[in-house]
Amino acid sequence: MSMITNNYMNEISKVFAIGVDVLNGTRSLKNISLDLKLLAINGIVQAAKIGTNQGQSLITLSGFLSDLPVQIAPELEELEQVSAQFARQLTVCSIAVRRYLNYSEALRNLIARVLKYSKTAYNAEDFNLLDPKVLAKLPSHPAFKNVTQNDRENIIRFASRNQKVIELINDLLYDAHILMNKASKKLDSIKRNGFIANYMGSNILIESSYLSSDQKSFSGLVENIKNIVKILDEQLMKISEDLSYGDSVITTLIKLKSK
Amino acid sequence: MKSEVIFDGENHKWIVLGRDPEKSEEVIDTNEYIIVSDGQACLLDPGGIEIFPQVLTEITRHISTDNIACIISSHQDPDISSSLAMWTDLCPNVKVYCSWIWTGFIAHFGMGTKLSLIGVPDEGMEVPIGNSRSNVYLVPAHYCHSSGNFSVYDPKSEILFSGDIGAALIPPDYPMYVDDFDRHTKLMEKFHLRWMPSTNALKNWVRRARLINPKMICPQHGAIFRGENVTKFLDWLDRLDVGKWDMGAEVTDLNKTVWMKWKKR
Repeated sequence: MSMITNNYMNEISKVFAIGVDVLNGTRSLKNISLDLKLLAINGIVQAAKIGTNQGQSLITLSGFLSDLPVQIAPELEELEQVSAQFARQLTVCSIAVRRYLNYSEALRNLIARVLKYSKTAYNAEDFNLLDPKVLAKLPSHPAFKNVTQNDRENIIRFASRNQKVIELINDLLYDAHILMNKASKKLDSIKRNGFIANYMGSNILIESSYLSSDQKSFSGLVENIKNIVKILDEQLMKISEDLSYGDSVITTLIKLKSK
Repeated sequence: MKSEVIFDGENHKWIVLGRDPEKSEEVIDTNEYIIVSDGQACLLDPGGIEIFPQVLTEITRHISTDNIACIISSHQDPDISSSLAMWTDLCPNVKVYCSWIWTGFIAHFGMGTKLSLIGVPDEGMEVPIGNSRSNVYLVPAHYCHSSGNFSVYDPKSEILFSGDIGAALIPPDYPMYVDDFDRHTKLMEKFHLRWMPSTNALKNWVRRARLINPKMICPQHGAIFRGENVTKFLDWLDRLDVGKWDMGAEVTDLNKTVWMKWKKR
């Protein structure tokens, strides 16, 4: 396998892994969101026991917090759907890449063999078989001027097959890119809610710090809320980083073919 | 991958491909055969996806892939069928034959392509090699080893392609033809005892093969039988008692302690 093809395969494997990571990350957000809701409801119950004005403000704050998971539920649902489509698209793409690798290896071997007997100055590495334009012009390349009729027919057929597969991969990567952008937008909207949750958690923490010592049991709950919000933030950040990395790899892959 | 012409008649050739030094050790060595008749080609057991590029490249030494008219899969194993989608993609007009019982299973090797196969009935059939003047015959070999299995007989060359019957687990650089039959049986015996499920089916196949009386028997793994080794091979097969897993109760019975441990998990 040529270095450029090997590199291409490694990059595609990375994108495939990113697709799976994004899908898993999105699914874990649902659980985090549910945990947050349960804690916020618990907060309302605890605050109700306090029975003072402070208790009332904590009820209000916890109420806001418990509403957040409900508000982000449709966003999470959509993000999961987009991520699933994205992962599926990358799976289809990786199957197409597998086909491409087989065809391109056969084409490269064929080129190497015919160049050997044609005694030209060219070698198989001179041809970027990832580039559809190179593949389209391959049969008429001067390097193959003196090849046998059989080999000419085989070069035409192999080049055409490689070209079709690489164009298919290109289309699949573009579609994956669109889905990735969609996922990023959904994630931004969920992130905004994450900031609000974080803000609410901080407010609850501040408000609860004024509680008298016999009502300090509330602080454990607040700590849990803060932890969950922190996990939510981290998870959102990780998905965001995965998507950003995936975006750069896909962009590189699309560019790689025309180098 | 090496290739060798094993029959060269008037506009009719058999070529064997195999002994691939580039394949990884994990991949079992296979023989692929091409019949080229009047410029049209028939591929027998084209090999697994792992060796597809090597097989394809080697084939180009002999024919233009435009001329591959048909592919016959003796049975469904991955070392035979997993590359079929690649072949049908490359040669969209190629006709692919396999036992009717496996068409739906082999279609799982589609890799994103609809894999249309011609299901061969149990009694076998005659297959034309494209628009050449040659036909080959699919001879039933069910339960040798697969439950839907065919051998391929070519009357022009008098060669019988036997699939896994006669297969041997050979070291690299083993000769293409069997030279020392007794030594070769050692390499075939374990394979047949484990892979062939039915002595009765094997004996029936031997009867059919004797009736056909081929000059060569070409297996998918191992070495080719020709001359007196054809009869020696059929006699050897006739004496085999297969389909037994007779390793003693210690091995064949499920160990109670182990089973209880599994159950508790």
